[in-house]
Amino acid sequence: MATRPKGLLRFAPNYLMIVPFFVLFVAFYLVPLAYGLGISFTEWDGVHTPEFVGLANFGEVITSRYFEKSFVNLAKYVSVTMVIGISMAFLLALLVDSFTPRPANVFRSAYFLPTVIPLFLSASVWRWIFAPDYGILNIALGVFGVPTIKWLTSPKYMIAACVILDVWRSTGFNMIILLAGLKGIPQEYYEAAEIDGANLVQRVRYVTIPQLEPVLFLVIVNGFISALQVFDVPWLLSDSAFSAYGGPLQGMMFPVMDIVGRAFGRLKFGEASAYAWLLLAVILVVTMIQFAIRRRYSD
Amino acid sequence: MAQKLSRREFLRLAGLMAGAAALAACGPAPTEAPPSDEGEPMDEPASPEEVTIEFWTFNDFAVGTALDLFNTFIEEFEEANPGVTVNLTGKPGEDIKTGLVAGAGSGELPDAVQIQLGAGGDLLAVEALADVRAYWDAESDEFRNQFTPSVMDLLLKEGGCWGLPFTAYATILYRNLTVLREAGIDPDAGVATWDDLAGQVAAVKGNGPWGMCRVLGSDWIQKHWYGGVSGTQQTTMADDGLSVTYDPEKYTQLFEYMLSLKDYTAEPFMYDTAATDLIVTNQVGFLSMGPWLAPTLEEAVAESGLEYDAVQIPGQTPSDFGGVRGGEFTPVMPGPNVEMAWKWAAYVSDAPQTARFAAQLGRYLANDQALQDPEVQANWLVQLTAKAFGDAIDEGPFMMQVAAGWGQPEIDYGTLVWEGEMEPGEAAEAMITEMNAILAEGV
Repeated sequence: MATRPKGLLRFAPNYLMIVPFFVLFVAFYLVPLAYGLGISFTEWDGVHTPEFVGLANFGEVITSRYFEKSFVNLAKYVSVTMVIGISMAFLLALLVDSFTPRPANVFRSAYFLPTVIPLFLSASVWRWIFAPDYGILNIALGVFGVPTIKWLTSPKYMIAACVILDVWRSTGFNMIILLAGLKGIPQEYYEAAEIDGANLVQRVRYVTIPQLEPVLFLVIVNGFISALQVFDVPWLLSDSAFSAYGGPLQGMMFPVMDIVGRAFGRLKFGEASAYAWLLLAVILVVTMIQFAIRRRYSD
Repeated sequence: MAQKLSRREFLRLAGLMAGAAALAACGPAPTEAPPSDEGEPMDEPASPEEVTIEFWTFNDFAVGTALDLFNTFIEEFEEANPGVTVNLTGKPGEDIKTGLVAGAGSGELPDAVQIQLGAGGDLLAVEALADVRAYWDAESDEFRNQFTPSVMDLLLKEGGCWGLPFTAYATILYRNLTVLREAGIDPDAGVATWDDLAGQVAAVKGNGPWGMCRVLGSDWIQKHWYGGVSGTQQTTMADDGLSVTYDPEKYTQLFEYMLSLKDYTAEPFMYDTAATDLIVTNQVGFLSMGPWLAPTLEEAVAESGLEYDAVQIPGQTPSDFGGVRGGEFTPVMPGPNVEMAWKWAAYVSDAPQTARFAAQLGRYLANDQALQDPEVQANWLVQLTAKAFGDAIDEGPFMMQVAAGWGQPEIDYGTLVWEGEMEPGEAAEAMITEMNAILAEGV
């Protein structure tokens, strides 16, 4: 009888199975990440030889004109869009899960449609929807006596406009993931809860949410990571260009917009890389806090 | 019973997959395209008999009539140059620029593009443009003299030649004639001054529709009207790119004038889709915009009976005119196909082709010879745009690298004035100070 290999050789097939993924992961994630870190310590226009400047880029970014404003905007945007977006996705998933198969398929496709529409098209349509006086949204609000809102030009409302478009786009995608999670919850749990006298809200609170927790956590973490990197929605809504971006009074200025502006508008790839690493640090901290909270409450 | 894979076969298969993945990820880096020496023809392409020219142009030139024209040009060029294939790709202007900046670093550049003159400075800085001076000098006088001198001079900077002029634009004032007549305004009387315009927008609003759409809060649209202030310069940027040429007193006059028209002004900006909807549906009298709006209005003429015309944007006096101008050019990128790419650029920019472009699309081209074509002469939009181009101010620095974001204060302070949160004089001073501070940071 052949003896089993010992030590690392025993798991060699397993390691070999993950080699293809790992090679690609290193080539397309870790190497660019490390390269970006290296560039962040240099002054580089993307073509000529980078010149080492130490931590100067980080200082330049932190003390720059729109740094504070972009992170204040980001905090407001993330806190609102996450709450509204995840809540709506969850409620829609519960609603669609209660339908019979045929209407469930119809509504699932309908709610997912905004996710697949090209963003430039969505943004063009929404710019028209948000138009003061004549956009559909202001016309509808006018029916209730609300004066016209300058969604895209008044800093008071610009973040709200970004949130509306983002929730419209991303809710369907999150709903699909949560719906798949809901399908995995055994019906017996609900039946047992009903027998124990639980009403609808109690069943959702004590059965659905705990059972859905792993999927919900994934959606929330992914949502935060995506929201913290917001770029395309505000860039398109504010009609930004490299000569002027962020909209009036920087109402839609966000970190990734400033990163792109520095890189391709000012040809300062070193500063852009430094900014990107600062944002990465923020994302890592937020993600770690989420994992810590989850660990604490599941213990 | 299914046959199991033996350990040896499995390890062999896994090793092959890992090796394939490693080779795919670690393929040879693209060779960097060597920058051309001053105007000297490049090395011969790999296959002299067959050359493919990768050509990027604006996405609105890659649809409709413009695309049909380009396809015709491509067919003619390929017939005249056997073995040459031109691949046309339409992209937004910003994407063309970012693609060239990224490509300059990686060596993956197209062969020729069309891009705004405003992007030229950055592209020169990253060496994404081939110096084609030798090819330019080898052309005939007739070829070289056809281009608008003021635009060609921009492209001959520092002794080189960085491309050929193509389209140019200047903004004009569209008028909804139905709205004007219903307000008791005779369109034939024209609108020669700011005072004329103020009277007419008030009359239009008094009859129901809006007089015009919003100006303050958009840097580009504010420039449409700043040029109409008496005594303004046509260049908006100093020669060294470190300050703007705006005058605070003159900009204050612009702010004050637009505030005086606020009651007659609809909130959508002139460039918004909503503004186009308003003029097409007879809900606004005046709209300042570029010539690209005309095709949409022509469709409305056919579909809904819209009656419109366009005039130069008026200034404070009959001899002042507003309007902002810009242009696009066709540069060639460093690489193995510079010679053939130059031939393509020269073909597209040549009068017979630009005349067809102007006649069919109503777009002004920076080609004086093409403008003399009878069909182009008969096109009112081209002739009006050509006149407006001569009087307009520059949309920004051309073929000059300046600090990005310099236009943001114009948006910010225009917004503050419009919302009544800042006085015009104070805003104009602060705006110019901030723009100069951004520009002074340099690149």
